[in-house]
Formats: sequence, structure tokens, C-alpha cells
Amino acid sequence: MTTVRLTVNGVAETLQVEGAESLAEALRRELLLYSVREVCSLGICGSCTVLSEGRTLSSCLVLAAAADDLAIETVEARGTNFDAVQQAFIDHRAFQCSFCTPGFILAARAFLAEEPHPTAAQVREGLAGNLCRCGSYLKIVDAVLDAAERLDPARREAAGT
Amino acid sequence: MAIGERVPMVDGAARVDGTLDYILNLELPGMLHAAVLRSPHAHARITRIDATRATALPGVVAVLTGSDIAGRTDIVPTFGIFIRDQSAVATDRVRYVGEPVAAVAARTRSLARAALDEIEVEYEPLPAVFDLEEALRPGAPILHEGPRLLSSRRPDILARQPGFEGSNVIHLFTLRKGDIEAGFAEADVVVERTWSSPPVGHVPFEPHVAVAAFTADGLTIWTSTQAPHWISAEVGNMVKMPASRVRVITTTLGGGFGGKIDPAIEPIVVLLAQKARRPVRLALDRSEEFLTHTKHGARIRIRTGVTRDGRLVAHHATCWYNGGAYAKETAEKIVRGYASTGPYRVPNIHVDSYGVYTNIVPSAAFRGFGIPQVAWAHEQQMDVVADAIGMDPLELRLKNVLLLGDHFSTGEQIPDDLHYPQLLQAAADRIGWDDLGPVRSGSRVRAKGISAIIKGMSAFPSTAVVHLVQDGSLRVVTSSVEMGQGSLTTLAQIAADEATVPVERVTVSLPDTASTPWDQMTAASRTTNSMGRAIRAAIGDVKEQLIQLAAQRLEIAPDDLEVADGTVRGRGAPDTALPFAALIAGNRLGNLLGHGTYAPGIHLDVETGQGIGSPQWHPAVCAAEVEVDEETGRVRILRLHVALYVGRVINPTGAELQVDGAALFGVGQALFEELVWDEAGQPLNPNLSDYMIPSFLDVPGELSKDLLETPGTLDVHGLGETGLPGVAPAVGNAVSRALGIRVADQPLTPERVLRAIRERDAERVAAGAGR
Repeated sequence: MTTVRLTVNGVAETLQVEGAESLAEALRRELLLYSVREVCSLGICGSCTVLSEGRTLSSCLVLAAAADDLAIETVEARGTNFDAVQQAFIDHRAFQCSFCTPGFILAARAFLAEEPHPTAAQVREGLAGNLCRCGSYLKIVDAVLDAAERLDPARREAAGT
Repeated sequence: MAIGERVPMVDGAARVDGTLDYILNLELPGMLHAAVLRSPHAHARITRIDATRATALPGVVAVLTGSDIAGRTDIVPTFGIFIRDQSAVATDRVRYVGEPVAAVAARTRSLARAALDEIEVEYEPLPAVFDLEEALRPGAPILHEGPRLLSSRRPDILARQPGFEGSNVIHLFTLRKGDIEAGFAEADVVVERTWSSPPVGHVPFEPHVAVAAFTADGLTIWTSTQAPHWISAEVGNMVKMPASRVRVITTTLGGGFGGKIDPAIEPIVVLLAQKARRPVRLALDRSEEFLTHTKHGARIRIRTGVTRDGRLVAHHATCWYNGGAYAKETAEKIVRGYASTGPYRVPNIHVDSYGVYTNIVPSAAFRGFGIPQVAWAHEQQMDVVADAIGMDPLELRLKNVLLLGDHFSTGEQIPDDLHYPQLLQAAADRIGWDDLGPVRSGSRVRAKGISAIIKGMSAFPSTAVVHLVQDGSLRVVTSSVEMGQGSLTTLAQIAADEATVPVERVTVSLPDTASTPWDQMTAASRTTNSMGRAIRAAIGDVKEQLIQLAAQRLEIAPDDLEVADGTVRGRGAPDTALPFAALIAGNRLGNLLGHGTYAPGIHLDVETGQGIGSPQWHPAVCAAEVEVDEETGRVRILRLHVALYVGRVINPTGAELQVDGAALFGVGQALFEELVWDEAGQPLNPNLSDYMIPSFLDVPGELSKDLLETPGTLDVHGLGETGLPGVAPAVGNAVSRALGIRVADQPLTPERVLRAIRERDAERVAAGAGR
């Protein structure tokens, strides 16, 4: 067992991790963060995505023992105080089994921070690092485009919110 | 009301904040973690197995090997829905690479995994067989000798057994209609082709995961399954406990796609929990997921007889479905050979459809249940036939497609209008059928293709209980499984419609076999239809009770009462309305209970395959435009259109998602999904790096759909699978039109397409040289 200190969703945490354990496994086992889902264990599918300094990180590729000093964020951070991306995913039903959904939401947040006014083609390209076996891709595009509109300050101002 | 509305998913919030309840998240006090030792051989006898050292390791509580199973009389060592040929771990013999040989339960998952290295196993390798037709030749290695243990549950399908002992035939389905010789005699042109489609992976993102715990009053299994009651029955049989004491609890699934129906890991956790006397959990990792269940690979050989004017007059087909090492549902899967004709009127038919044992991963149900395999064949065969008689492929289909009142291959009259001509026309219009291609631009060639398919719905019983509780809200109790298709929402909409209450007043349960009534499985595009009917019947039961209560209160004859807006009232007398809550409270009843059953019957004759194959038929047409790069062999799907007749859509958003999902499963299978093994039976791509599933980059530039409805009908057609089978042949037909060649083997990988292009070019050169 190794002791690892990191910041998770704004809280300083100390984890006891096993030698070969991935960060994804440790977050589930030690912190019960069930939104972090290891699917491919190869950094291919994006289901274990967490945010670190606003960028996506495949937590299945990070050795938990080497995660000291990382600051990471998962969808649990906001509780039920949903952001525009989460709300848009609900409104457009941009999921089926939803196992990949937290990863998509975090990837979409990072993507929209970089590209606040994307086209549908840019959304497809920008989220190509996340896989959805149920094939909800078209609704995900709708949701991300809608979230971009909701996040647009000019539009929000015009709407008086 | 409620029907046809885009009601949001009832558990939508939990889907975006990480709190959705998957079995994968379950932790029980005192729970042990399991790991599985798997066979490195495709076929071998186990000559020695010694788990002494593993058992002695700190943290290891129990090790399960074949010696814990074989010879025991307090359990039934084998399980299987049709043929009991599999055990939790191998007893004396392994039949595929990856077969469980032993399992360890330990304090942590890593301790369990480490203990696997300390189990000593010696094998004596045996000859193995992988090819379908080789497996049926005399002298082929036989996977299962001796008499077969038949399960008693499906006598209709098993009427042919025994009879295949000593061979690798799992089962045989035959269909005989009309006079096949006369049919071919009438034909002007006869076309024979052989098509193949490979095993593919289900790849549910949540893996198989189960926890088993024995308690004083029985056994409880929490498992990510599509078939809780079936698991309860199979496991109950295995441990010789009444199924009523085997409680199976299922929460929300992270995908199933047919791969989570047959028992697979449940027998392992149950026997481990029994031995360890502690709860045991097993969650497969990704590579193990690929070693558990696959789609049936298949080879389909079709000889078609057609008249010069495009009338199909004879269809002779042999289907070989690869069951892999264990029988599972293969005996039923092969029945889908009846659809090898496609959705066409053919008077003379001869079909032999074999399920075959080979030394690969066992095949299970897979989205489409046997239809994608025959569709890949019959729809490309249709284009070959059209070319042979010089007819437009759309015209050939329109000429032969099943119309209301026509008879299908099984002899049954199509009971409702499947709207094939409209579907064909809609898809052709959408894709632009006047301009089929090929259109060349540099090394890239564009062209279009079309396909039509028919799929049945499995005829299993569904039952439902409803509680109309004292405030007039409704609790619907069923064993339907929410696996992302949105059944909790869709069934709530149906219940709300039938009960005339707002959908917010309805709650639908998750499965728990201790309290939710029988449903065979959530599969086969059947839940909205079959469970929907059971729920309507259960609410009908409650409505009758409400009317009796209201008749006494209002002193109005029951026939003059109606149920509307959550009340019972005199017909045309809204002022007499009594809310449900008032009727229950006023009679001091607490609640009203109703129950409903939908149990359709089917029967196909054992020799002729004639009878009723399905209570309802699901039609689809697909049209595709592709671009093939002749330099790389890469196929891109530019446009894909799927047209379905669905009776009536309950939730348009959910329907669109399911059709998109089915179409994208089709895209993966058309272009790249394929499990491969080397000549020794070692899997070559059991991971998501070497086995690809569709990503955003594989979504066709335009993916569109028509969902044709009949307004007001209660005959809801399932649509979870219908969009899938037609995709690959539509793409295949488009690729063939682009290149002027036919690739018979699915999927259309760049390697395979490029090889076909090179063969074509070599033949052209040779033909030029000979001139």
C-alpha cells in the first residue's frame, strides 16, 4: 500500500492505494466516485475521463501511486447543481445506458472551454476520443451544441439571465 | 396522452451526475472478490489441477476447481437453456481459449488475481476445430461426445433431439415449403453464392458483474443481466434450490446487447459463495468480456431461382451458425434460417440451418438474433439476382416483397401491413435512387445500395402487477430491465395512458425476482410490445375494480361508467367524477392490485418449419451511399437512411436513439467489427485497441430515419434491433456497385476490399491480354 495525497473535487484527499492500481480504480475503491468507469483500460474509450486543470485525463492510464499532487475533477463535483453541459445532456437525452456519459460530459466541458462556438463537425472531431457503444452520438452533438449556446455570454445577456 | 411524447428519461439526472445505480457499484459487508483462471488451450484434457498453494495464500478464502463440481450430488453440475453442456468451471476438459478452469475468492481483487498464478494445471492438448464445415466432416474432433443432457424447457425446439450425438451438430432446423425441384425447373436463371459473417463482440461498457450471497432463507444474486428470472431458474436448478428461494436483483445495466442473457458468471460466484460462506463478487475485465460471449459467426449458402421477369420461384439455403464451444441459445438462433429468404414471397423453399460446435468462445444472443447473418446474405443475393436478369434492384424487391395477406416462408399469413413498398420508396427517395453510381473522382468511387429485412419478435411471456396506491398514483411492478433503452420511461408512458393519469404519477420498478413477476428477458425488441400489453392488462384489471366500486357509490350501472382523467365517472357526466384516491380511501382498501399477462404462442413444425414463427414481424429498409478509395480499400459511409414501420412510437426521442444505436451497430459490423483467432484458436484482438467499435468518426455524415406509424394503433412494434441487419448488406450492395465486384465476407475492411480490387484488376489485365 502506498499513501497518495491529491485534490479531488476541491477537497484534499489521502488515499491508500495498491501497487498496480490505476487512478480510476483507486477513485472508485477509496472515494466511491462511481462516475469514473474503467472500460478499455487502454486510454481509448474515454469512459474514465477526469479533468485535471481543465484538461481531460484518462484515469485508467495513471498509476494511482503516481497521482500525488494531482488536482482532479469528476462529475460528482457539482452534485445536482448541474452545469449547462449536464443539463443539455438531460434535455436532449444524449445517452442510452449512460456508462460513458460522465466521461463525455467532462470531455465536452474541456472541449467547449477551448472551442466555445463549435460547429457540429467540430463537436464530432473534438469528442472523437470518447466512445459510446449504444451509439447516442447524434444526440450528444445536439446536446453539446445546445450547451455552447447556453454558455454563450452574449446570448445569456440577450435572454436576460 | 403520454403516448408519442418526448417524456424525459425518468432517471436522467442520475445519468449525468454519476449516481446511476449499476451492479458494478455494489459493495456488501464481508464481500470477497473473485478472479478466474482461464484455459490457454483451444481443446485439451485437464490431467491434473492442484490449488493447494493458492488456497494457502493469505487473504484467499476459497478456490473453485472442477473437482468441486464433478461428482457432486447436491448440485446439478451443468447448465444450459436447451442442452446442459457447460459447468461453472471446466471439470475434465477445456473447449476454448479463455474457458474458466478455476476461480478464486479472496479479500481483494488483487489478492485473488495473484492467487491464480499459484494454481497448477496440466493439460493434454487435443485436436481442435474452428471452421464450420470442417467441424461437420467425418473424422473432425468432436467437442461433446456421449448422450446429451436436454433441458426440459423448450420441447418444441428440442423435438429433434436426441439424434446428433457423436457429431458437432448442436441442433438442426429445417424448413420445407412448396416443391423445390419444381421451383428450380420453373426458373429461367439460377444464382448460387456463399456469404459469411464473423463472430463479433457485444462490448457492453459495463462488464458482466455479479455478487452472490447465501442467507438463512436462500440465495441472493445481484447481477447485470437482461434475464433475471431466467438466471433465477437456471441457478436454482444448478444448486437444487426452488427458484422461489433464488432471488435475483438487477439494477440499471450499462449495456447488454444480448450478451447478458445466458448464465455465464453467475454459476461461478454462486459456487464460490457457497464454498467461501461469504458474499462473492466477480466483475470481468475487458479481455475476459471478449472471452465470454460472442455473436454467432455464420456461413450462408443460397441458391435462388428467378424467372426472367423477376419472380422469385425457388430458394434453397444452407445456414451454418457457429455456436462455439457450448450450446447456449444456438438451438433457437438457427430457427432464424426461416428468414434466409428475406421479406419476400417465395413459393418453393428448402432450408437447412445448422448450429455447430467449434473450439471458440461460445456464441450467445446478439442484437438482431440471427437475422444480421442471413440479411448480409439474402440482400446481397438479391442484388446478384437483379444483375443476373438485368433488373433494377429496387424493382426486383418491389416485385417480390411481402404485402398484407401474403405468406411468409413459414407459411403464416403476414398478420398486419408491414408497409414494405412505402419503406422501400421512402428509402430510395431519400438516398436518390435515380443516380446510383458509380461516380468516380480520382481514386474514389461513390455508389448507392439498398436492402430490406424482416425480423420476428420472440414469443415469451411477460407479466405485470400494478398497485394503485391510496393517493391514486400508480406503482408498476415488472421484471423488465432498464439497460439504456429507456424502458422505465416508456413503460411509465404506456401505464399513464392506460390508467388516464399523468406520467409523473407512475413509477416503474426495477427487477427483483422476490417481488417482481416473471418476464422471460429484456431482449428481442419485445419489452415495449409485450410488457406494454401485460401492463395494459394489469391496469385493465384495476379499472374493472374501480368501476365496480364507483358503480356502488354512484348507483350507476358499470356499463354506463368510464375511466377518464384519473377518475371514474358516468358516461357523458363529468360532474359525477370520482378520483381514484377517493374510491380507494372511501372503501378503506389501502390500494387496488391488478395483474396482467401477455403470453403469445408460436409453433413451427419440426420437419417443415411451417406454422407461426412470430407474434409480430418487424420490417426495415436501409439505403446507403458509400465512397470507396480504390488505392486504400477504405469504405466510408457518406449517407445512411433507415426506414422502419413501427406501429406507433411511444417516445420519439427514445425511438430515435434506439434506431441510431442499431444503425451504428450495423456500421461497425459492415466495416470493421470482427473477432479473429489464430490457427491454434488464440484470440488475436480481445481488447478495444485491436477490436474497434464505432466512434464519432465512423458516424455517417448523414444518418437519417423514417419511423412509419399507424395513428392510434395499440399494436406497438419493437425497434431495438430492426435498424441493424439491413445496414451491412446495403453497404455491401453500394460497395459492389462502386467497384463492380462482390466481397462475400463481412466486414468490408480495407484489407479485404483492396484484395478484391486487386483480384478484379488482375482479371481485367488477364482478360485484356487474352483478347
